[in-house]
Amino acid sequence: MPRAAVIRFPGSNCEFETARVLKRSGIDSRIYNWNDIDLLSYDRADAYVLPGGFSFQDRIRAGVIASRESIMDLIFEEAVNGKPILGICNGAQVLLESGLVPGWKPGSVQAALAGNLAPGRSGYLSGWVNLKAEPEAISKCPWLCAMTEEPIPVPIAHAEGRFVFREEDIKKVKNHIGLTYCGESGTPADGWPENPNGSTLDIAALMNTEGNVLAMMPHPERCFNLWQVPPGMDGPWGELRRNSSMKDIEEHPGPGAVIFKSLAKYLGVE
Amino acid sequence: MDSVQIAVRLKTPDPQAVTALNTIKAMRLQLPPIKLQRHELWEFDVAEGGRDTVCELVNHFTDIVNPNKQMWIFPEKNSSLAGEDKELVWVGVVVRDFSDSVSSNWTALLKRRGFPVESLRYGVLWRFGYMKDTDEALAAKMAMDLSVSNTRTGGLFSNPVSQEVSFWT
Repeated sequence: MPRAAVIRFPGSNCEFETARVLKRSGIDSRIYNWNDIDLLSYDRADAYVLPGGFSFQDRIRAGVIASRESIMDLIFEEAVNGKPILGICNGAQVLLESGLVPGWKPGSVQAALAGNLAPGRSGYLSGWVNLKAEPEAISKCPWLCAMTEEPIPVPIAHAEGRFVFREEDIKKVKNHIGLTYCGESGTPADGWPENPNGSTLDIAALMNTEGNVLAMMPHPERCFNLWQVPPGMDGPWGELRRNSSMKDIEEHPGPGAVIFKSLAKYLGVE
Repeated sequence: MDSVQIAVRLKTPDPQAVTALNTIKAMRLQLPPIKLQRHELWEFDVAEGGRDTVCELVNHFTDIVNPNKQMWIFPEKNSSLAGEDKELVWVGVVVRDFSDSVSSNWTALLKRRGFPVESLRYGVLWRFGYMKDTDEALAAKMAMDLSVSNTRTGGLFSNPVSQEVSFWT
């Protein structure tokens, strides 16, 4: 059975549910502390996940202290070796601060996850958004390969989730888009609240050049099950939730399951 | 129009500065700062009343200064701030976001509440304390290099894609 390592930094708070949904997708998973470097060096995994939450209280700025930790050298090496790596929320911030994404020049910081920019609001924001995968990302990203172009609802919870790039890099970025914020039917996001944080090009998830590293701000592990979808939600997922029996609600996968099913498909899990 | 700055800091040692200094130690720089202070820097463009207006709004909004845990001053540039060892060579660097909803939302709020404030800018002032007798120009260069994260192993205090850095002089 393929194995995934979930890396816990001081302040991570989504590592258990992330490990659990990987297991339920047919991938053995284990949580490693950020300082379990020796353990992880001799016991390499097939995939790595940097979970959501915080790291080092997000001191200075989100993800920057974690990006300086020695464990990121190992993650860097595995990324170069082509192993699938996913950063969710704070994990995404760590990947950007590490220079792994977009990774034009690995190790160089070429993008930022800046503070949310929304009219009349600032700071932390949580809610549900709709996401759509880019066709090129479906074909090359191990975390998106089981997706279709149908939009999925996924929760967000962050204060710094706005993808920002240098003006001269915007054209290049288009080839790195994994997921974008969109309307309920998949139409392009029409500003806030469909694009909740003012992210450039409505980007919700960004890949490296090879496509094996994905930094995503929304939390797919928080909607792995259908019961995690709010019954009052508009659209097909809300309708499915309302019309399902209690048994169906417990057994039916939720919209976020496709991210982990993608990895399972990529790793050859039956 | 007066431009009035206030510097706000925790009464206790700032955990962000403590973590930053530990991270700098791990970077094994040839000339690291030996002390580090962090202040929130608010810059108000005040239409009338100058410092009195700023005092009034600081006393009014505990989101700007929480008197239970923070203290604030009108900082004098080129002079040391509270808590700084005067024997050290200090360099101040201000980090600000290019697009900052904190500043724009506060500006809108203060105008709505009738304060004569045209605009405000929020930033973080990092004060780097280098060993005494360090050449001031060298200390300034080291502080600036340390302030901009161009690479994962390089600077620390700002992401150059989304933030600007300037000397506080």
